[in-house]
Amino acid sequence: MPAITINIAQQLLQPHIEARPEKAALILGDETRSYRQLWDYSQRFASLLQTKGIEPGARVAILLPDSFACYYVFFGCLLAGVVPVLVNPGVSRGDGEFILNDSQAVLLVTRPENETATSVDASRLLPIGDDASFEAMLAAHAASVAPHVPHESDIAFMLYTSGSTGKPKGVPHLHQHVAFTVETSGRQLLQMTEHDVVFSTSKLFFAYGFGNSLTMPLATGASVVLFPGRPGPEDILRILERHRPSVFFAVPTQYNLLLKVMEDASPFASLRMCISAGEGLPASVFAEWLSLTGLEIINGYGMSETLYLAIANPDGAQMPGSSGTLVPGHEARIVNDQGQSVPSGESGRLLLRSGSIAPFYWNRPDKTAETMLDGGWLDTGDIFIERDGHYYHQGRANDLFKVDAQWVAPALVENALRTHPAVRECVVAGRPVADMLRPWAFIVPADGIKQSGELLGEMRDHVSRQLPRHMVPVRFVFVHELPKTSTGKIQRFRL
Amino acid sequence: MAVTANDVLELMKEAGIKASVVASLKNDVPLLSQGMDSLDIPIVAAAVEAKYGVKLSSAQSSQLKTINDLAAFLSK
Repeated sequence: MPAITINIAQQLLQPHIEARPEKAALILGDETRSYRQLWDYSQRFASLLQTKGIEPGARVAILLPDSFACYYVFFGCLLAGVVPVLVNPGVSRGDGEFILNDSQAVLLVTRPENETATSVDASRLLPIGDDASFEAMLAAHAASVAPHVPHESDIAFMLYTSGSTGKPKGVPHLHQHVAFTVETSGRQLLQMTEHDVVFSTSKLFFAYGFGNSLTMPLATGASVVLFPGRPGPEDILRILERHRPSVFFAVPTQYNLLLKVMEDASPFASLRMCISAGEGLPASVFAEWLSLTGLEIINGYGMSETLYLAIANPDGAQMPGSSGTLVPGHEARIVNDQGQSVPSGESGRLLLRSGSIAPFYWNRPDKTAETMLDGGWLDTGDIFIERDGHYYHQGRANDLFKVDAQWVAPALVENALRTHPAVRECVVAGRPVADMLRPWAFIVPADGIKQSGELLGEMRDHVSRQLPRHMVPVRFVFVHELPKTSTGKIQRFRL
Repeated sequence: MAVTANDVLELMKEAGIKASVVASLKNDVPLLSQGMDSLDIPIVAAAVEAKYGVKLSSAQSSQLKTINDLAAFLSK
């Protein structure tokens, strides 16, 4: 019989009910919710699920902006033994439908206006309004459920990664994965305490944002500042000035944008720590931030499959340009195409092993076999060099690259561009613009087409109608032909 | 080489920023405070790098907040 483990909803929340019940767990604008309220409403949501007859192990999709409701639903699912699936509320309708079908979600919890809400019939939909109206609705349900006792192999929750050129992949995690990341990253790396107030620009549906705004702070009794949408630099400055957080999490692009709008370092006076992940942090951004704020940005590397950071520069031991050293509890190998370890200083694919590696991809035995290797190793698909215990990211093993901490799949952008009448052939690749990787499009125009500002604007509009904004090319290079191999394969490296 | 604010505005139009947006920009106000976003800024930076053959560091790009900043930088 499989061993049982502790339910992470209990593990994260219950200790605070005695220790600090009235302390603010969540802060959004002028509103706060205490640990007691968070526990209470989460239990009520668990009761709601039980009333609906939703059985342990079933999946419930959550497409909500970061909000109090998002936490109640997430923890309520865990307490009922139901598997919450956190999904970007801005997901395209096609991907939203795919995720609902792929996860076989028995219920979708979302705002009534969400596009994906129209994809399911009323029996599978729980439309919820703002936090206050959701709480009023929950008040009708009991606040005393016996927390579900999970087995070690039970899936606790699932995230979806949009990593590859194909469809999103479900990444399941177990209850004990959370305990592992809390101990290794939360306590040891970030040294988080109940006195911290944290703010993350990355959202809960993103593994980095999930750790930043949910597991790391709640495990220690800290307070979390929420922002429902995608904050711009001026929103971030307003939040910092108003809520005075001690720990700030963002992605490199946002640090870079903040440097552009900051007049002085005063909004950052309350911070003890800044953390960056999601894509490589340029050494120049690190240096400029340090000179302006006096704070070193802790640069880290992780992915949905590792749940949180696996490589990071600990505070005070920064190596700019490096992703850092292994976070405690993690092991790494760098291997060649034959899977053999390469010597220090040589590049290869990074394999990772830890206590928080996703055991498989949901419904994807093919990808699982490629990625989750024997011995518990995860093939990250990233190329790294290791020197003196520091890891240096060299790029993706395939052509994907990250902008704004989000994957750009060149093939998707190329497909979108090819449907524009002015484009005969094209190829998209990541190239640096002011030191940051951005999508460039190399275009062979259709006959008689001349480059103009108007045409470029039109082509960008054309792409952005089909794809997320971070995939829109920032530069178009018009060429007569694309470099190709004798078999007709485009040689991206020659562009 | 003297590069004027008008040259920078012209460059933005050539790079595909809508003419109506460019026409509404003030030369001395940060572009990010005038509705330009995380896509527009690298579009302008890429156009500057391509047209003037310069390689901007991210630090320089951070300091070049306004059209006047860009014109002054390119005139050096």
